[in-house]
Amino acid sequence: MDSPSRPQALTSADAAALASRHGLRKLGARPRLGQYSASIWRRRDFTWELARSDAYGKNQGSYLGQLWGVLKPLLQVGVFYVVFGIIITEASRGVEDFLSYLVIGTFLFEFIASGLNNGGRAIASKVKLVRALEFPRAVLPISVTLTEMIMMWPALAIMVVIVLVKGHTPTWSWLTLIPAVALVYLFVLGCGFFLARVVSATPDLGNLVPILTQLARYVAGVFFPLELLAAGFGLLGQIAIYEPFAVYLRLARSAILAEVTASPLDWWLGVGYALTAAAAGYVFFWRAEARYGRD
Amino acid sequence: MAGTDDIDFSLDEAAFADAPPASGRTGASGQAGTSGPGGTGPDGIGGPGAPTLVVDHVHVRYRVFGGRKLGASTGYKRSLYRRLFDRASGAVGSVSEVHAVRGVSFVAHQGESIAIVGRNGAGKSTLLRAMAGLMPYSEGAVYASGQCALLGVNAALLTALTGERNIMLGGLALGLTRAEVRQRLDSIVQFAGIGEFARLPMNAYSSGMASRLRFAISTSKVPDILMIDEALSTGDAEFQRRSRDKILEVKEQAGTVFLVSHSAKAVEAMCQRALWLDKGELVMDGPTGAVLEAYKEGRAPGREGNDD
Repeated sequence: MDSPSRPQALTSADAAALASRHGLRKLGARPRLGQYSASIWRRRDFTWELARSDAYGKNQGSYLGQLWGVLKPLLQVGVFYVVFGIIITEASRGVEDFLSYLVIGTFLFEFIASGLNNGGRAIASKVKLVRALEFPRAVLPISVTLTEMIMMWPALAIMVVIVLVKGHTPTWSWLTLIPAVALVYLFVLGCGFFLARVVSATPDLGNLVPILTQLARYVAGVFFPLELLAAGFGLLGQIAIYEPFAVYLRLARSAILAEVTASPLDWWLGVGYALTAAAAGYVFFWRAEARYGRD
Repeated sequence: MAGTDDIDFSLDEAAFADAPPASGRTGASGQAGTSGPGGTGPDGIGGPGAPTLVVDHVHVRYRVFGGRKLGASTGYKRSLYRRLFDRASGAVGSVSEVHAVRGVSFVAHQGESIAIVGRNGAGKSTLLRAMAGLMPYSEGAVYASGQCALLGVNAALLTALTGERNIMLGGLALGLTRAEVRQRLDSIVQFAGIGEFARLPMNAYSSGMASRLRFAISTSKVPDILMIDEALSTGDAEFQRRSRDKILEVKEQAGTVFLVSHSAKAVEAMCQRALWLDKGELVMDGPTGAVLEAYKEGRAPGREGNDD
């Protein structure tokens, strides 16, 4: 036996050789993209359970508990009714059923905004989990976005009820809401990947995300028919009409409301934005895999 | 900040070949570098099996936001400008880098249980995290076999959720399937000894209960490398006995156990080998008895009198 009193170190080359001889894997090395994707797929149950648990946890800690998942969007509709139905009535010019228009726009945008805000904090808010368990970190942005999705379902159900109450009859076009929401999910997920990496490297940027989503809220036509206003702004107006948020709002509204139409261009753009954001965001996030959890 | 508490470690193979952290300071006892080529020599520290973990000159640095920068002057005789500047820099743009682990190297083997001793802030927990692949290291390399489970006092699960949901979540994270977790649910609850509390949110748990549950979840799938970071200290006697059995089980299944503890009794009872970490450096690696004795006396090999 060697001298017990003195640590002996292998050279780095010897350590690597010893490790490979015994089939040890190097920790903290970024896996190849294919392996990484496969390991995320293997954790799909974990991802889903984490998302569900988070959504559940957000409404815990009150007497009414999970009932708030339904109450919150319902009360929000009440606010809209008071503000835009009674006080500021001229905001609704050019739209027949302004309440439905507003409800679809807001609930969808709410999902986008909180998806981006929480996506940016995906790593930071789960740093304890990151430090406790080893799993591909991309699980976190995916699950955060899923959480927002889960929390959006009650709002979507309420939205459908309100639209029915307002006298719209279901048509086949309502089904296009499903691909529209799926595209929005992919888009938000892609942005979430991007923001999660950027914010975990520079936490300061996390404070800017809510400001940016607030800007988007006012320019994307959540509260007003963007298409009518944009006409007076030339090229800028055209950009405003075809930026991702406006496109997705139009796709969702056109599914339910007969008075809003989405062109094939809108669908192409919607698919393009979603796939580009998701693919680019994913690769961007993966490239820093070995660096998450440093603080 | 860079540079105030950072030593420049060049990764020069030749310089490292026979300059392990401790002996590098004094030239120690002359038996250095006798290991043959291939590097199998140093695994001979009583290791009964194949290596499970190879730690090679690992450095861990982490960022800390806010607070006064390390090394900022604190004397009274500072200029007004200096004082204002220092005060502002504590609140704006203040990032410190903590160099917590400095060039640690060792090899762990199947069936070994290894204690890591050292004072508070010596880098023990950070080293464990880096070894478990949970915290990125900035230099060096860690090679591990199979699955690591780290049990720490602050390895929190989601406290807003019930114990049962945390069991499901933790089990899935370990790579079990839903069915497997459901199958083990009762035994995990029983092992943790939390009984009816399994249906309550974890923030209703006492710290002992929470750490028992964490231990039970993390060991529900027998890991290849089990790392315990003072997690046993909060349990009662009955639980400590059960944890000891679990540790034996891991060792029997050819795993490796690491234990960070300030209890000399626990360390002596469970570990044959000990690593002594001081200020981020590995100062001693050997049989538990010898290391503990040296640690108690503050006598590192090759370090004349530890300064406190």
